Amino acid sequence: MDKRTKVDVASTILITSHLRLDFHSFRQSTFHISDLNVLRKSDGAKDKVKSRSLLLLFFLWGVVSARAAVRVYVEDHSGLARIKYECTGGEVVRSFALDVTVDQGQIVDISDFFRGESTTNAHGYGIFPASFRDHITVSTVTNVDWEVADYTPLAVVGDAPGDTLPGLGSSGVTLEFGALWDARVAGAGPGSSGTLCALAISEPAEVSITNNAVRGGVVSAVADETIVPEFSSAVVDPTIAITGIGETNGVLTISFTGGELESAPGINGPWTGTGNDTGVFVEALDPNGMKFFRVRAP
Amino acid sequence: MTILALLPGVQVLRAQSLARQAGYQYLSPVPGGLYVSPGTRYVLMRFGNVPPSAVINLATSFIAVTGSRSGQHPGVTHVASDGRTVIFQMSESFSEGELVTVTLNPELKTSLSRQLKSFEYQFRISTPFTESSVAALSAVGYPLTQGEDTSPGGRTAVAIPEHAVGKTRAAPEIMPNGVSIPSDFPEVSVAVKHHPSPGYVFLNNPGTGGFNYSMMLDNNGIPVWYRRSSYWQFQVQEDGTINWDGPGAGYDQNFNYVRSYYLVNGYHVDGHEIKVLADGTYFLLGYFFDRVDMTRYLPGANPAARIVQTVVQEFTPSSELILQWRGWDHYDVRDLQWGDPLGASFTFPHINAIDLDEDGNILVSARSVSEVTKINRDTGKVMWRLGGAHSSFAFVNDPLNGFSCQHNISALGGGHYMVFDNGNFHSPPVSRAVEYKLNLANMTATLVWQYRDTPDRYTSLMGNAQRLPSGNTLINFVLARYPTVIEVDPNGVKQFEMNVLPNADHYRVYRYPWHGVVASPYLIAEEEEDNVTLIFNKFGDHSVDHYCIYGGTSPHPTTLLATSTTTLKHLTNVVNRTRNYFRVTAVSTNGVESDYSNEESLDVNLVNPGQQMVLNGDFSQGTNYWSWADTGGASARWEVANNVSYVDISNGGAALESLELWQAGMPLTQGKKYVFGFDAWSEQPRSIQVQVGQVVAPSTSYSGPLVAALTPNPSHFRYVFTMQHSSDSNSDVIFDLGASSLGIYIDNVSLFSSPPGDFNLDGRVDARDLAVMAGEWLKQQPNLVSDLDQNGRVNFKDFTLLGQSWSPTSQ
Repeated sequence: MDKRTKVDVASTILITSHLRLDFHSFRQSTFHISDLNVLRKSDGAKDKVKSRSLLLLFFLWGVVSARAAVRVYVEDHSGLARIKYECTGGEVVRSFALDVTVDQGQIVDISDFFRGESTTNAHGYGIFPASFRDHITVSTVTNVDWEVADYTPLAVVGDAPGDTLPGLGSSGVTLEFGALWDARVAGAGPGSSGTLCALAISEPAEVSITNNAVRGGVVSAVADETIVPEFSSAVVDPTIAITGIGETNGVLTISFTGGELESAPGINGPWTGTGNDTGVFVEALDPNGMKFFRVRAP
Repeated sequence: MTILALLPGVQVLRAQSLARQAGYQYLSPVPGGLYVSPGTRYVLMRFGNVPPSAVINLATSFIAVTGSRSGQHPGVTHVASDGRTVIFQMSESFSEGELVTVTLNPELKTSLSRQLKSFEYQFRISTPFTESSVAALSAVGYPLTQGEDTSPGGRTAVAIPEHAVGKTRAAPEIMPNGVSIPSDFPEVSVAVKHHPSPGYVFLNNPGTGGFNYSMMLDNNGIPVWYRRSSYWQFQVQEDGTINWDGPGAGYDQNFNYVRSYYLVNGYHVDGHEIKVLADGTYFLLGYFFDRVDMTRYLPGANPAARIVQTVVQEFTPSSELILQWRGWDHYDVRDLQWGDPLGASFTFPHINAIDLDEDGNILVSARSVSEVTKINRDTGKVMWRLGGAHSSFAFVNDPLNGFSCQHNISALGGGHYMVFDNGNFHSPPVSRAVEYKLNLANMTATLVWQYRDTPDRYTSLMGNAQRLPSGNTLINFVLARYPTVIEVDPNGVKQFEMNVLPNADHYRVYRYPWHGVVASPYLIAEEEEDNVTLIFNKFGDHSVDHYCIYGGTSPHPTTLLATSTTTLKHLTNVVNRTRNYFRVTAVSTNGVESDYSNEESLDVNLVNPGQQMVLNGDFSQGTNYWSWADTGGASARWEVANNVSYVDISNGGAALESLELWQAGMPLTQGKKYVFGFDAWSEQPRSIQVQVGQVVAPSTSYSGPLVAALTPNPSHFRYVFTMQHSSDSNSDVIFDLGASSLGIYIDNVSLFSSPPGDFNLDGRVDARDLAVMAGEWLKQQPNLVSDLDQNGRVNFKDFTLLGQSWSPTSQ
């Protein structure tokens, strides 16, 4: 894949008047995209969006026809490399130990990861053993403070120097994600698909994932089962992104980079250019409306 | 003319010669036959030069059969589907010991009348040995198939290494090829693997849980198919049918039932051998118990010897008996080599193998007389005898001068024959696979190949050798202390050796190809302490996408409990404390669901890790669930007040066990770790003994006797032990309180299994335990407490084991 290829829909955001708009929440979970539906219904004829959409659709068909497996893949989301997973055959994954690399530039930040025990109220892979050891103090078993700032999935090089990538500020990071949930509680486990984290990278690059074998790789929640993960990489371009959203007194401000901001009344369009490629878009919020935005590369 | 022979063998030959002169090429029962089964219902006839259709009165007045006591036996005559054999079928059995007269009066066209004459002959019905003392016969090494203990291991007295007998795998597991196996499945190892032949090793081995397993193993020792089966032979016939659960049933290559095989004339199925030809014709071995006055043949012999006579019966594909060939008619009981002809019980002639020679005639291995006999399939006449007292051939180039008490015969073609020579009477005894080339002109049997293992192996019973298409030879030296199976090339170089534990005798071992796909999964259910484990395999099917597991508390469940992409599933969503039923289907990658598997059921009594097993441990329900006894002169009053158990002792007796408080019903699983705890104090300092074990004989202590030193201050006592004994579903928590008159208070008694990951042994897996694992994260050294998979390193493989018991906020 041409590392410059970029699926612009990954930059799509949804704005409603009911959302709490701040940059942090935007990066974590506010703007989920049902990309497959969007791509199938995209009608941006002959433009770059459509051609890239067809490419991704073809890839997804290939996955559906293959034997069930756990996919671990990269998705460009507003210029961030989202590390995502999908269990296609009913598998339940207990943990992911992953090596993530970029073919140029550096990985500069990690965000959008879950913290702590998976419960019916909040699902995810929020147990990071090395970071737990180094940053979590267990005072009482029912009141662990998972919000410690340094508690992240980043592995510690010293734990396995030959089998750990250098970390932030380098071209590779090793990540540890575990999930713990009470099996007696229905619906407490992590979902069959989701986002493990998002990585910020310094420049456009192909982001790749592999197993970190020494840590166990991708491990099933059932001790007897062997998971066969399928890893796929993607080109992520941090230069095309919605970088910030703000709302003050009913006025929306969107910061973006890398092209023209487009808007639509629904996730499937129709998309209309705002004519704004300055990097800052300001508009009064429609108190009853819903609007989607994305950035189109020039 | 009337023929009545009083001696078997020679007299029978004479009588048969007269029959042939009358135009009867084959008759059964044979003229002059002795010890004929009372259950005989078929008289068989073949004519020399006359087709059955030429006998005008065949269906009417041709034959009359009359017992000297039972009278006339009416019947129906018809020509078998081979177009050659005339069958007279009767409906009533004969009386014991009576003389039976067969009168043959053929009416033919005049031109043929000289070819088939009227003929009358007699045979004597046996006096059966009626005492059902099968055990006595088993003791002399006779395999039976009527529900008796027939396992090879049960028939031989073999010193089995203690360390090997009890070997069990810890739990069900999934093999590298995806096949799952139960916890009692035999352990298989491959000691030599150079250039083994393709195909799978077929054998039957006793597991460790009371079940035998018929299994196909690949050259890495991995099972590709298995079933629990008590039949100790597992072979593929020439028509492709497979026998795995007894000689009486045949299955196709997909293990669908095809047909049954039955002996007739009152014989029982002898499991030694079944031979099915490509066209479906089949040969069975049968046995029958005679009571014989052996003094007629040997002075000083037993006048009422119990003899197991053996018979060969040939059937058409449509199950018509067309040939019966009895050992009594063709061997001399005085030639017995294996077994004591003067003794009270023996088998004769112990036919243990059948094969067909390349000319279509029959080969049988008669072990008791150390003879391989070739039988004319049309006339029943002996064509030649190889080995034994009357060998037709002289052995050439054989340092052992022939074989002794052999256990199988294979016609290799071109006049070559191979036997597994047990070698009972070689000096010293030694077993081998040996191949001879027969020269029918100068009547020599030249040894052209043999294999004696290094060191020599000797098995007095069983065994086999199979010549493979590759030219290699598969050999089974039977005994538990020997390799289970070896394969050698024509140069005698060992190319393959496989061992199966538990060590056991193996009757015969074969190698065959297999390309079958079973129609539905095979299911085995096991109950663990905290889950029901299902092991299910749709053998041979590489298109299974996932399995559907159905369960419920009634037979034939249709409620989907779970799905699985693997062949093993641990279930906790079962209904506890009742019987659960399970069955499984396989769903293919194109969405087609198979038929249900076999149905399995279990009485489920799960105890979750960390679950308190002691009922009313806090005595809030008074004395419920607890038992009390004073013995040996001890005297005490036991009561519960204010939710505390108090023992007011007036006489503590002589021993701690004189006063006992206990609770039964604790299920303990071998290998699991348990935490036993309680609060206790006493009026004055004293000691008590506590334990988890058996309160009744043999009074095994699983925890070991533990001493608690009590004071007037309430203290909590906690003991951790691992169940080293076999699992016990009804063990006891025991307090031994005697040998002192000082009163005792007991409260908050608990017993629970410590789940994996419960490093601080508090009965649950929570953040404190996670902290222990995190402290050892990625460390690589022996004896790490959180290295749950015990591979020397703590990583996510251990984390997943911890995670399975994660219960941070429970209790």
